[in-house]
Amino acid sequence: METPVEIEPGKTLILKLLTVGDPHADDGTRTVFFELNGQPREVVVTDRSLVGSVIQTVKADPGDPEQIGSPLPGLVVSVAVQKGDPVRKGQKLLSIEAMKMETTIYAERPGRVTEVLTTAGHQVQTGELLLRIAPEG
Amino acid sequence: MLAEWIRRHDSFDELDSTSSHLGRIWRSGDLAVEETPILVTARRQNAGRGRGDHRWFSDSGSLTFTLGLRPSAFGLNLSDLVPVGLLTACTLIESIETRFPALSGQLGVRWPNDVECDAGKIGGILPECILRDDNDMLLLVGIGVNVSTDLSGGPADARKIGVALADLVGPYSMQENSAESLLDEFLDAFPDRLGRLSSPSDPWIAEARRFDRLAGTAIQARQGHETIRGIAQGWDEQGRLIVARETGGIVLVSSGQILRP
Repeated sequence: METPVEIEPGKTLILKLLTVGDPHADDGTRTVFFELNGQPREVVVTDRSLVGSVIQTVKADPGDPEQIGSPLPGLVVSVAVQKGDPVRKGQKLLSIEAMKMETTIYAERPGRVTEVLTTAGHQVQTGELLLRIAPEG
Repeated sequence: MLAEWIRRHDSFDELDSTSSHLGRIWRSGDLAVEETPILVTARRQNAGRGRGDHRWFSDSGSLTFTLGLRPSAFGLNLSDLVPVGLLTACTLIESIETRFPALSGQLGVRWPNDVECDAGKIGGILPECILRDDNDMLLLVGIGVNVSTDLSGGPADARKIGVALADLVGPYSMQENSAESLLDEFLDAFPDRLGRLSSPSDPWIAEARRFDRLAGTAIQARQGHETIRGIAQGWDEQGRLIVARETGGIVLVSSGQILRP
């Protein structure tokens, strides 16, 4: 069904709902697909009906150097460290793939892995907490 | 003549992989920031890389190269780069169509990074982001094109799904410098196309949808531990694959792989 929306006198937009996407992994949002004046558009909205059934992911605190967050949305393809492992600066920590672009995250400083919150095959969002690394010494 | 925006060109007769070489010199510090963007070409790769552990077969009739550039120089950050393989594949198709007008309208993208036609796979894109100890990031865009590749000398999967441009247009339409001229065409077009990723409102995906070869077809996608079966519905505004599940509902595929029938 098309819905006309007058945004100012003499200027009307025609909106048409196409479909509503499946819930996105872990954050309780869906993508809503629609047409705006015949052009395909999409918007991400929070589905309040999913409250309580969604496990919210933990976001990394960008101000905390011990927390390693995902720099982009994608699929974790490999995790190269385990809890308790010592890491040196520049050591490979994990790789993430998105639309065939593989991005490897390396340790910015030496330390020891205190927590691994993801596994290979896990879909992650931007900023999602992946690892905690305590500084050495 | 090499495109002006390229600051360094490493050219080899034979190399394991142009992307592997570029990764090595970036991490070791043998590539200075001022030397980027860099182009690495090889007449022949003996360990060309494809997705994951896959190999990319090539011979002296192939065009194989990798571009290395710092995204910040193009106004891009890491999250902007997610659809770079798709954008590169579309740019490559346009370059092929310019050099081989007889192929116009016949080429398309098998989401997200393969260039194909009805006869098979012509080329592939392998994007990769790598950091080094100083946290400076380099985007690698590896590209392989079967220009006049003799695929009968390749492994079974290359023989099964691959096809060369020379097979499509006929050997008499090819020139000795066909691969080089295709590279020139691509290098002329690529910087402007790449810069379009920096603007979320840029309509490049809407323009590129004409290259979508999966739209309306039944597909099977493996995304992490999940297998998705359904009908491909095209690309969304971020380049993700829209799939109508056979069990109902719409899902956006942003990673993993599309399985071949």
